[in-house]
Amino acid sequence: MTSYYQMFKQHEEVIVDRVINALQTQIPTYGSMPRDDVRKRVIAGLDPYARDLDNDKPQAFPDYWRQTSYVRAQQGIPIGAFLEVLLVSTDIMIKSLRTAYADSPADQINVIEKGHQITTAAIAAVYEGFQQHKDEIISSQTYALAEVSSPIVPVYEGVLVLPLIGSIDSMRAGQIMESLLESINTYSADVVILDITGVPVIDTGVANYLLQAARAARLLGSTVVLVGIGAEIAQTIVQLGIDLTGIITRANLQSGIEYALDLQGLAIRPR
Amino acid sequence: MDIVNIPILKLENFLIASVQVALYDMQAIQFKDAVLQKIYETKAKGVIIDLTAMDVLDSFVGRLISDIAAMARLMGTTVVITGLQPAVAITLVELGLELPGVTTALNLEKGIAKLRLITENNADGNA
Repeated sequence: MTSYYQMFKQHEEVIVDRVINALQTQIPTYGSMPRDDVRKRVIAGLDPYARDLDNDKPQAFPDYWRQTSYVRAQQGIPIGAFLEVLLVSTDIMIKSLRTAYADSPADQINVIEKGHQITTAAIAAVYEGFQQHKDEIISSQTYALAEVSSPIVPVYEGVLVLPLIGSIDSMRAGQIMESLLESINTYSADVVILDITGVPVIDTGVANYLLQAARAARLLGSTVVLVGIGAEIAQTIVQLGIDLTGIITRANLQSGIEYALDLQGLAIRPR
Repeated sequence: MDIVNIPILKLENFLIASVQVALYDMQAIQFKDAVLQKIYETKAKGVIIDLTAMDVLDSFVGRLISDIAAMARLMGTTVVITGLQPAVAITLVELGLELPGVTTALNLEKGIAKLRLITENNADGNA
């Protein structure tokens, strides 16, 4: 008995042509593509499908689509567009193989069942590939956001300023704490000024992180000065009963810098 | 368990001990005894314990270090811890071990400067 793959190979030319025609008439992007290019893609797609017809579990075809969907997603093609390609081509594939097995109902049923299984697995794979790309985007954006939102400014020898902008959640607070301590080490900073002018709200969790950062900085041999606590934040801090006694606070960045210089026996003076 | 030999060097009035290996409980206790013995022998005014090379510090060793500082204070000596790594500092704070009463400095250089400042102030106060 010939395998399904061999059967496919026998009819390959016809099936490939039918798929190309269907894709070029039904999907505009394929319509504008040279026929040879479409042919290459179709062959690359149908070959693993035919192999999977002989396998117990669909493997090659879903793998092919996982990769393709990942690449297409990178190119910015919507998921619906390549799902349609998948459905159109598998549909024709099954119909053609059914015609090829016209004299064997058992094989026909087998092909339909297998085909259904493969297509379903491929759809799941398409989603996986698509999702993988989305996940990568999200994680790179999160990373970029974290980088952008906590710059570290060395304003004077041994003095660092960390202006915090935007709302802070525990994850960001943890990152800030880490980058704060790392930069104390790299710049060998005696004083770090945490400027929270741009932070709209503060909660107990964040306050706790800031306290921890201040304590950890002290262990390194550095001092943390918290500046820019606005009227609203000051109220929240007191109402929440957050104890900031371990941290030195100053009204604004200016007095923070003055304090930092003063600690080192320096001052800004007119010439 | 191996006996670790952490050299305790004397520089002018100060002692400098640089811990280069991970300390286990027994070794940490040996280290504590060695430091205190050396303080007694040399009548050093200050001790610098440099932890730059330590990337792991457990709660026992953390507590022992603040103990050393407290004990040294009783002997009239100031202890400065230098070069604590950020990750170690975070761990210590999370363990609730904030080494109260221990002076810290970023590196050996700043540690010596701090120690000079403190010992000079003490000398002024005593005079």
